[in-house]
Amino acid sequence: MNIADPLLSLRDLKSYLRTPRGLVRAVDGVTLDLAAGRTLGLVGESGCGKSVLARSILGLLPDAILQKAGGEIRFGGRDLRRSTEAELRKVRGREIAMIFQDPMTSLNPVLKVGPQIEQALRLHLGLRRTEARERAVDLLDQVGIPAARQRAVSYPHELSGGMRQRVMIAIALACDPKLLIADEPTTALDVTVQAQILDLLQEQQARRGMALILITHNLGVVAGMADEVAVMYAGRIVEHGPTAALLADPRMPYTAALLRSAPRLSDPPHTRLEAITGRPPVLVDPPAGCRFAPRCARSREDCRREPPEIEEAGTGRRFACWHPLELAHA
Amino acid sequence: MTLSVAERERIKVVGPRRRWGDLLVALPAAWLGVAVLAAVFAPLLPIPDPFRQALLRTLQPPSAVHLLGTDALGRDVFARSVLGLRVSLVVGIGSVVFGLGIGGTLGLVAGYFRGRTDLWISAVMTVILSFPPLVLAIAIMSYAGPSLALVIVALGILFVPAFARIARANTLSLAEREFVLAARAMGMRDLGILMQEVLPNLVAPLIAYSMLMVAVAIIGEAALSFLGLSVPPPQPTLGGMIAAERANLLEAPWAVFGPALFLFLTILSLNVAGDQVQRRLDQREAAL
Repeated sequence: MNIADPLLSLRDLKSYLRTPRGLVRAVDGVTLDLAAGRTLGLVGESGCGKSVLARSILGLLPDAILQKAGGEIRFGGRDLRRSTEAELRKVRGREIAMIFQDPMTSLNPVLKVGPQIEQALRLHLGLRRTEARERAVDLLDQVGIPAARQRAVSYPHELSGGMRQRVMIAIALACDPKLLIADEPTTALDVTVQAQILDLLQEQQARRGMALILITHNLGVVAGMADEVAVMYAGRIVEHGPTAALLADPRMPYTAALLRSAPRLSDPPHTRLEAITGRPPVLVDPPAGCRFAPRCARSREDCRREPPEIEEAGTGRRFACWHPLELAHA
Repeated sequence: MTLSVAERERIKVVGPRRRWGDLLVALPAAWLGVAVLAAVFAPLLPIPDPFRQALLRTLQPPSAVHLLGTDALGRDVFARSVLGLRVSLVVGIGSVVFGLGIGGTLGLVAGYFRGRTDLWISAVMTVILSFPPLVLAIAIMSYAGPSLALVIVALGILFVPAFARIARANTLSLAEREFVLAARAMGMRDLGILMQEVLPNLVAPLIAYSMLMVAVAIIGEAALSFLGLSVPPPQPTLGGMIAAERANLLEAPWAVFGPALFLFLTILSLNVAGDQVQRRLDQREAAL
């Protein structure tokens, strides 16, 4: 493998979901590269396909629901899209780990937390019970759980939300994955705990040199943590670039609208937030042109005729728009 | 610290109710404990030989020697009831274990894999459920002849659909939970997820239900033995004793009511204790 090769590379990935209302084009042509050790923030509103994208990478959606409509997921010299279930099982947890939104439900309520970490260690690293137990305590300690040895024999309901998410992170880190996918890891937590969890993720990422895909709808989280940001809208990446440049100078109107709709601490009290009018398109039958056109103030006739492809725009930035915003801070 | 009137009232209400709840577990548990011990150690107990006939002392009323009197052949009713209870418990527990093992596994598989597997398993369960249960048991027993193992299997088959349904329904909802997805994301295979993630969550609901089903199985066994389709004589069974002595009900009610009392206490205990266990598990569930 060439050293310049990205760790993960998605090529025109399409994941459609079979639903009673028809085929939902949840991920519809996503192309994305992520280098080892980097953090990508994946942002977008609910239902834009972020979680389906994340689950597609690990092949977690059952065939009964998912229609693999094409594309490649290249990771470590393989195409995960074309891997068998047995091959995927070796990647899951071992090379790519995932943590989920709600730590209340992603731990098994009837098992103690220590054994839940041991499962991963014994499964992938073939550790024996006693070794696994020591490693589990060590991992709990690393993710900042006080009195780790006593906590290892606690049940999940005896721990707070933040502690549970720390346990989830310990499970995810157990086998030293090269990539961690965190699907809204702080959404279900208190604000003060959110910051601690994000700090922990950042610290562990730096220490282990792993790449991180941080899925969120919180732009503040992205600004603080991500090296680069990809904005997703209606199943597609509409803008992608280095965090600072993208947040300061959005080119695609949807990104700009998303930034304007976030509350700022510097705003005076009772400032109205600028909501984006209209709704995201129904992905069973998406509009022919740009999918944001019906809600976009800058849309013209050509926007509705043909969809813009995502194109390189220099300095590592890409966006998909026929009439982009001008660079203000260039 | 002084308590407000309302608080004092609350404590008054909570106190006795709680003690009642404890008693509702303690009494049935005590009876069941005694029954199980008696059944296990029946041959060692200082009771008269249950098989010895004494044709000169038939239908004797209860006395110090014969606690529940004697039957039409002069055999000790108490000793025979203890042995009968032994059969009841073996059949009750055995058939529930059979139903739990097979039904639980089928329900787990159906609820987890869904689709065609679920369709087939559910169809077979529906077919079994559509038979009148006792008629099915009678049919099996009269076809193959009476024996202890067969009673267990015949009643066990009747329990398979009930356990399968409970296991399936619980698995269906558990499989949607995020920790199952998390286990898959960790690279666990289906068998591992079923055994390590789903099954531990099924233990509580299945155990509570099993206790109630043991009571049903004991009634079922009593019905079969009343009809002469359970374990063959001379082995005493509670239902068989009632059937044999019912002609003498007026002269010697103890010969019928003795075994009936054993049945009644055991079934009542199982139901009350089972209800309490279920309630406590539900509370624990709500707390999780």
